[in-house]
Amino acid sequence: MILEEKEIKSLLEGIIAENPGKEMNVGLSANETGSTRFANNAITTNGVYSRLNLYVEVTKGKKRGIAAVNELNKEKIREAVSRADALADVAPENSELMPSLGPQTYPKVPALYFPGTAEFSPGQRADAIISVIEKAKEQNMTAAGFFETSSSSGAGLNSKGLYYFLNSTRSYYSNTLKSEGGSGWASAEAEDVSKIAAKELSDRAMKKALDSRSPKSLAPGKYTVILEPAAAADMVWFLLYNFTAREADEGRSFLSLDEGKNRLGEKLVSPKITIYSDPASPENPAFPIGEDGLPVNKTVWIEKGAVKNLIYTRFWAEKKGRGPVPFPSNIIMEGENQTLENLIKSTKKGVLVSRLWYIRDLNPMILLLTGLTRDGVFWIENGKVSHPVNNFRFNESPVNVLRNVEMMSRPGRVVGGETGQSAVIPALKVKGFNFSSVSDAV
Amino acid sequence: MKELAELALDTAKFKGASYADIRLCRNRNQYIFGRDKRIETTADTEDAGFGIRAIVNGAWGFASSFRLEKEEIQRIAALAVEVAKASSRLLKQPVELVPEPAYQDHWQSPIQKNPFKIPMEKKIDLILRINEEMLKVDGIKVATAFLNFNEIAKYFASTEGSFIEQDLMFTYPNFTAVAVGAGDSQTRSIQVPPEQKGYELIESVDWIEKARKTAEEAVQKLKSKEGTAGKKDLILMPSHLCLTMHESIGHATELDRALGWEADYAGTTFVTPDKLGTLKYGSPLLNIVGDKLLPGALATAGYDDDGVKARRFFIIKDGIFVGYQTTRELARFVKEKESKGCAYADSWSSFPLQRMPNIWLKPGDKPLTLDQLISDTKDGLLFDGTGSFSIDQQRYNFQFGGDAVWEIKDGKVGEMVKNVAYQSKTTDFWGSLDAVCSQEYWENWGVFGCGKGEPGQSARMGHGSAPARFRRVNIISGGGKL
Repeated sequence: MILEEKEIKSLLEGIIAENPGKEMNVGLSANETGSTRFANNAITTNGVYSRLNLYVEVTKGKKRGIAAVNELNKEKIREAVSRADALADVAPENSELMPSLGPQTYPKVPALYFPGTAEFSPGQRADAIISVIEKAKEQNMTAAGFFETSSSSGAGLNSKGLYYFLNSTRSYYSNTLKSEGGSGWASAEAEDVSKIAAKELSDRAMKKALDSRSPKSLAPGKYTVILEPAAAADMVWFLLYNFTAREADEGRSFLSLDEGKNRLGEKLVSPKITIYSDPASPENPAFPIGEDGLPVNKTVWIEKGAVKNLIYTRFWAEKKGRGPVPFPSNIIMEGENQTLENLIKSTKKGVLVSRLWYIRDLNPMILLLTGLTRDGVFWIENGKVSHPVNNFRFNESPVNVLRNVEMMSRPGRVVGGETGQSAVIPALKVKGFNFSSVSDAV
Repeated sequence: MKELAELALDTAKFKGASYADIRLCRNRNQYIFGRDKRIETTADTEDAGFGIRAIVNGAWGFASSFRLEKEEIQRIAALAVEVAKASSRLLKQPVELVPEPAYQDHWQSPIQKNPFKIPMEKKIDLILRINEEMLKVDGIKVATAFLNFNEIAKYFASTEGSFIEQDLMFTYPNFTAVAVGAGDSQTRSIQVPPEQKGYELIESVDWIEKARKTAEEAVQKLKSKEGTAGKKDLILMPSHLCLTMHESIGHATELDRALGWEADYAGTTFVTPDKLGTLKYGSPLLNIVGDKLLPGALATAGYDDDGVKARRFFIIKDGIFVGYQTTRELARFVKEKESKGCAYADSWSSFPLQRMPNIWLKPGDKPLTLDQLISDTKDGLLFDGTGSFSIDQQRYNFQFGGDAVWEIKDGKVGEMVKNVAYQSKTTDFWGSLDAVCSQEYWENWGVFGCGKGEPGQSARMGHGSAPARFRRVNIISGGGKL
């Protein structure tokens, strides 16, 4: 690690101590990352990155100033404090500014730090990539991808005694295999790099690349669709990005109802659907620390189709007489005791989607999203994958997706192809999914 | 600075690098955010460090650090060499850089007023006044605003003898009004582009007048009818066309994408190297220039992050694709002897990638006013500002919405419509371009946060045009109920 907890804590305590009587929040994050990119069966770029950020927030009643630097000498630290202080002086009173929190209790989460990941070397990354590339060459394919390992430390301290420190590691592997006229992708994320199975991920991408060659044309329209877990993760993350209470209460969201009310408690989607977040999840452990140092506890967002919680900032929660609910640090969606193969078997006619791409909001009032399929789309007929078909643009709402779920697989941890965020989520079989046009991309 | 740079380069050479460069950068950012006559954020942040690239055995290695100390510079230079050695085990073709002269130079954004020297109170006051003006309009529920100023000091040195200092300044204002009522919500933003300028950009605008008009248009948009699907002629204003150009031409003509280097993430492109010089990209009115020289534009610089002097070049001429964006490493893949100067890293800690320069559409040769263009359009839509945007990974199929859209009926601008977007295929769309207004209507706009690469990097670039018309483009409706 770049800095030990003792060193970080002492530095932060020193800043607070040097400014007695000031309401301050200070934080330090440090990160070391190594990443290797490859394309056309060769390594293209390979780098090691070392970053640091010291954050200083000075609060004067309802006024606040923020400064940050990444140099830890006394002069620079004093400069940051002085800048934040001066900004707090000139800032007008912000009636919504919440006072700093005192000490908090955070939920215990599974290990987020693995020394093997922190110490993973450029040579080890190259070893994994070489085996993928050799296999790609044997199969007359080209491999492109990215392998990254990082270690981070994050600490926060304020003048009211709130303190937290967290060490974590992350490894991420993604690869795209191209065959003549076909493309396949697979990715995975893990805190422990030994859980990244590059060979398995390249085999999966290779199979998709082979199977997706020479796609037949399929017209746009509404189809029964099976979204593989990575595609489902993107749709559900976009739903959660928009699960904010304030926008709902202000009439600016698909969760808005008349007269400042929202859909909290409403049966919004299929009763099959339960979605929650939980930093203590053994499959997807996550940060237990949120806005202003608030603890991130297990939160159920949708239970049996009903909206159970929305994201409440501290200010909005107080205004509405509720407790704050921070933004989720992961997503866990319950599934059914089925396999992806069973979902396919149960489908008379439908489309299997491997990955979604370039998703954007089109209309927040119905959470209409647009985006594209990518890296393998297949026609299913009479319970079997029949042949590859062209890519599509979709114009669809994740609310409709979750209303129209007919069947789900068992959940597994994946990373969304568009959002890059992880989730423990099943594959979803969804009726009436709207493909609005064809994309010629391969 | 020169001493530190020389230490890095000497260390890399000593450790076995055939080429090395270093970028030492300091980045200062000021961000003020307000909402509903309250200032929520006043932040002034700074970050500095260096990144070293080295070529060993024909492969790149890169390492970076925030510790600006001699020992660390030596450590990082050695690490860059070590990383390059690991990469060289898997070499297909050794990296070869096309030649570029060595430069000793200093370049800076031609600003008139340094935003960091303008009192914070003045900036806060502007935000509050604009918020207030917007909220005076009946139907406006929320007014948000930010001012963002960014100063970058960059020092580049290479083993080929370049020592280049650059000081860049960016100013980005953004003000949005949100209208809410009758079960709907619509937004409208003040249309002023971010530019590589100082505070003079802020002072050149009558913000209060614009705030009022923008807020009134947000309410009009809320009350407007839903757009309907079908084919329409489109008149796209420069504030809108910037993003369509960016996505469907800018990214599509990046050579690293064409070579498959971005296949795992951003994607590839339908503009493959065999199409260079022959692909009919659009109508003969389509003339697209790649340009690092355009004054005030977001990607303008004296030199790129390969140390290549800024230049201007055609990407599409008379509708035909004639040139990729390149770097010193990429140029030889299309048999070019010099780089187009399109290497860019978003931070000292990032490896330079091929990134878009400013990309702009030449105005029409013949005199044509916006009024004349509208008068000549029977059944169309006029798009102003950017909205929802999405394009496939090979840049064929796209869909764009707008910040505000009006009907054009029988040569006149009519009612506003909401929840519409157009969908098309890149070459069909640019093939349907049949009119571009003349020079006096040309405006420079830009994109402030363009993502690319793994690990992801963000870049900024300018995109200028005059209003232009596209015939019979497919419109989709994004309205409806849950």
